Amino acid sequence: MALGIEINSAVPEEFSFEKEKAIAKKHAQRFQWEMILIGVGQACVWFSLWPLVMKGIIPLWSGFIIACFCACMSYLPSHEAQHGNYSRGNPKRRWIDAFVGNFTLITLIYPYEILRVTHMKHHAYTNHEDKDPDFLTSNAKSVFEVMHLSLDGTSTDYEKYKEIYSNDAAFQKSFDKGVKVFLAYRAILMLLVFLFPLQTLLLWWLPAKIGIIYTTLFFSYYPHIGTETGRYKNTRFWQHWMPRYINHSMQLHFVHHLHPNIGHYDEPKAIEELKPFLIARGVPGAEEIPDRVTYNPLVKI
Amino acid sequence: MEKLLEGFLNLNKIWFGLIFVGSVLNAIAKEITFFIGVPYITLVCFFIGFMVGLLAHIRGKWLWV
Repeated sequence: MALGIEINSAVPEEFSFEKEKAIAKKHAQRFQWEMILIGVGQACVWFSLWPLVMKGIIPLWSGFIIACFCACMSYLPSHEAQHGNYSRGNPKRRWIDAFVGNFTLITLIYPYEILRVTHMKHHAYTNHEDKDPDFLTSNAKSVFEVMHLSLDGTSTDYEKYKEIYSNDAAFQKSFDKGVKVFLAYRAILMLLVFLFPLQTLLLWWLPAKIGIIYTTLFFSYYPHIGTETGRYKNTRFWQHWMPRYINHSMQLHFVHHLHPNIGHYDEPKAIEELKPFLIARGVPGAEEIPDRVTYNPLVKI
Repeated sequence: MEKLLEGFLNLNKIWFGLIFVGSVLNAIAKEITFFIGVPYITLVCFFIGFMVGLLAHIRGKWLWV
């Protein structure tokens, strides 16, 4: 990571990296209970759809709509787990990271360990053509290309990154663990589709695809369009017509890349406090951040 | 055993086409009145699924665009 180079660049002492870090630390303490509620909640709602649809209590089409909503909500709680934001370094609480991280991703049919290790590499090498696992989607030329990459299953060529990081033992170990979960998912999916074809299509597979498109667009594509490498340049502040809670507040993704241990729901307060630091660092669009981050738009135009 | 699994996984698109696409097509065909009574409809559906998977396997990707 280019951290060492950039944090020493000339900025007034009052906006030093140490002070920036101290502010970030202040916002990285709270237990992220909302995120656990969303992650576990959406997975439980999704599980309940199966008996409800099978018994004819709700029609399949409404189950499909609810499943799509669950799939769109499923990544963010896992993302917090990937950064260890539930355990916050406490070994006794690490099971919460693993539990929420795995459980919430059932809806998306994705193995937590693979997402975790590749996401860590995304943070370490954001926008690096060969080393950033999200490079293809975050540098896609259009929304259509992101959708195409996601639907075709080539948005992240995991095998390629397994090879690139072949010397990273921890990466390999976690990756192999994730492969086992992936195979289990595949086996369950095939069994279910054989027994309950339309239900599996409309309650699991299709919602998962829609959830992946949504997640890739708002987590990977929009926050990184046109950005370069470097700590203060690899993510951007952006605007969207949706109220920011609908796109998971990914307009605030910049601060997440600066300090990933800040809890998701604490990011607005952190941004308000860090605004002068970001302006001093010349972060594009930082001057436009409102003094109070509420709903849309995050950035004034 | 590992080699067997590897061989199985190398053909993952074909398996997916046969089992997943085949099952879904078969279920859809059963919902459409026009196909009721058509002989070997289940076999045809699974064969189409298999062909879709085989094409994807040869091309290396699912989508045409």
